[in-house]
Amino acid sequence: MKNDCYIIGKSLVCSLGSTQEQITNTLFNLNQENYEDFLQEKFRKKAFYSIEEFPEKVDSRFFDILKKVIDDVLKDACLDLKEKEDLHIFIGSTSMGVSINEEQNKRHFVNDSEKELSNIGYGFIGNFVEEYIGSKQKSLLFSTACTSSINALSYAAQLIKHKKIKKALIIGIELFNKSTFNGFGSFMLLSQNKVYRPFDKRSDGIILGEGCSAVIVSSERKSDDDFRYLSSANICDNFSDTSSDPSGEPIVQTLKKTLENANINLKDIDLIKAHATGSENNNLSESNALTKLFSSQKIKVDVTALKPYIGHTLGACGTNELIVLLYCIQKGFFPACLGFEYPIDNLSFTPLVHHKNISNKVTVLLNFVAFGGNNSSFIFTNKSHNVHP
Amino acid sequence: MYIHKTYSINNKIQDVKIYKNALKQIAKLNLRRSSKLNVMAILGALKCVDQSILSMNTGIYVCSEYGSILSVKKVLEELSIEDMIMPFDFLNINTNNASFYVSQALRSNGKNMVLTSDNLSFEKGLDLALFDLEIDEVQDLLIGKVDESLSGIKEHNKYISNPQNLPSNDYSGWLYINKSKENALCKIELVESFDCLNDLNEKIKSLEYKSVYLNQFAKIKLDKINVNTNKIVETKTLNTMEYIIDFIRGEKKSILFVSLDEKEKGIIIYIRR
Repeated sequence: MKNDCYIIGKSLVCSLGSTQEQITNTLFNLNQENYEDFLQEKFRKKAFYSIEEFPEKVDSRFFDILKKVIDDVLKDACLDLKEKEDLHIFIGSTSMGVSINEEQNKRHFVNDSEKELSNIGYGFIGNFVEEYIGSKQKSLLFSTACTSSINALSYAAQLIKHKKIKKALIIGIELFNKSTFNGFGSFMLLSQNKVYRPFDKRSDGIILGEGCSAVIVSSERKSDDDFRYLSSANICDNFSDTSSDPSGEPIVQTLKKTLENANINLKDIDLIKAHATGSENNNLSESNALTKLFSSQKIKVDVTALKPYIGHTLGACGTNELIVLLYCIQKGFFPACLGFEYPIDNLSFTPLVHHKNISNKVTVLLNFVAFGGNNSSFIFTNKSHNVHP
Repeated sequence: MYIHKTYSINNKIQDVKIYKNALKQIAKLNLRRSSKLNVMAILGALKCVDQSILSMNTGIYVCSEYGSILSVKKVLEELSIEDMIMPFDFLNINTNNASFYVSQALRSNGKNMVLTSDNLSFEKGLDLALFDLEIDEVQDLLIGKVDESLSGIKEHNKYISNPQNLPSNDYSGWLYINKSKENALCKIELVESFDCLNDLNEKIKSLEYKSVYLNQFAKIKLDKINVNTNKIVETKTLNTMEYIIDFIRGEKKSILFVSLDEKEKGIIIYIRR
């Protein structure tokens, strides 16, 4: 007999805000009509979804954001001291603390410091979290590009399901750094039109964003409304280190395996949250994968994308997008895929063009694709046990 | 869980060309501008597998303390000087490519993970990888501890915890593990984490071992660890992986590995031949 795994706490700081109310209200008020104005305002300085509440030039920014997210998630989960001590810690990020190293190296370059680097390796992020919450457990950091935090969460959930651990804190963190921003630029992957348009003919690339989120999962539910982990899967697409197999086959295999692991069918899914980076390769491979999935099960389900709201937050997008979606579901809607109007060639489905009102009991499939062929999917539900998802 | 194959590269700092040339002898891969970390990872993994046919569902786990630090340093310097980064340099700072290239070289579709945990990256990674094997998430697993030598970085010990000033080598050590007992080199009996030394000591009491390996933090805390000091093996190696491989090459019947971090959080690995 396996345990259940419940999401009992969540917090997020992203370009939409730092509280559930702020993020949900801003997101709810966005639509296809005001989307471009929203982006124009947001991208005054650069085409990047920034966390403006925490200014970029402040040295302690990385840890200030991290502390805010941890404080909020602990409050949301209402953990006592003993429970905090026992929290297992999983962290997912692509760039880890490179922003801190960039600042240090710059200081060294202008002769303000003898030290070339702030740190070697990123175990220090785990140490910080362990000490900040007073956990006795040793943290583990995942670096699997854009699937980093969803992989961290999936492992935590599996360990709970198999009774290896009882509670875990999962953090996804991705903050602005030049290495990543200029690196994506060097591959000419960034949008020049500065409008995120997943699955749309006019889509011309990725727009990066920053965000930090935390989730607490537990074998014991906190309330009847808690969302429950159903399954996850991860497989490797060997096509290329920087792009997915255009056929979409590895992505569809991951999605199917996740459904199998949950022992449910596609008809039980109310929404698919696509990875939808807006890059040409992702538009093609993920739309092919979803087409294959829909045709194999002879059913279509609603599809949406969340990067138009918060940008592509890379290694943190797993937990960031999960929480955005949980906030929306709690407010009673599935968010629209903003920026979508003219479908790319051969698109066999139409992503949600408008927000959709929903009953508050749903089952959702999240899809993520990463550099290095790392494909991950994740299913959660808030339907009760006696109702098949 | 049984270890079937091992391999390690353990050298003083070398130029990446040395590893690329060695890799050319065994595989046709285009890694012209790839980082030393990636090249060392693939070379170590392929040598470990040594033409065995692995299942398509082989999990690949790369554990690294420092990631692709030499590439990161190069990028940081480029950014400080010119505010720009070249595409291949950007790819090389994405440490997760190491596990991808291993998967690609082995044509495996199983999961691949890059993991780190301050001073216990390999131990924590092994624990997670064995969990995947236990629940049949993967059929075989290939786990590597891969790090570039830090000796090219000025005063590198300022940035890391290395109280015994152990040498920092180019290292790529690999274990091939699955559930099959047949022809196995040895059995991993136990991997267990402890949040305090009392519990760790209680566990040690219950185990029979012929020799014991302590990592450098455990050595410093020796007065608090309840091991038979006559059975401690002396080693100058910086990592547990290398000593597991060393144990397998030797003749001792069983070994207990006690690894601590600076805060006395520990992991025990117990292996029998």
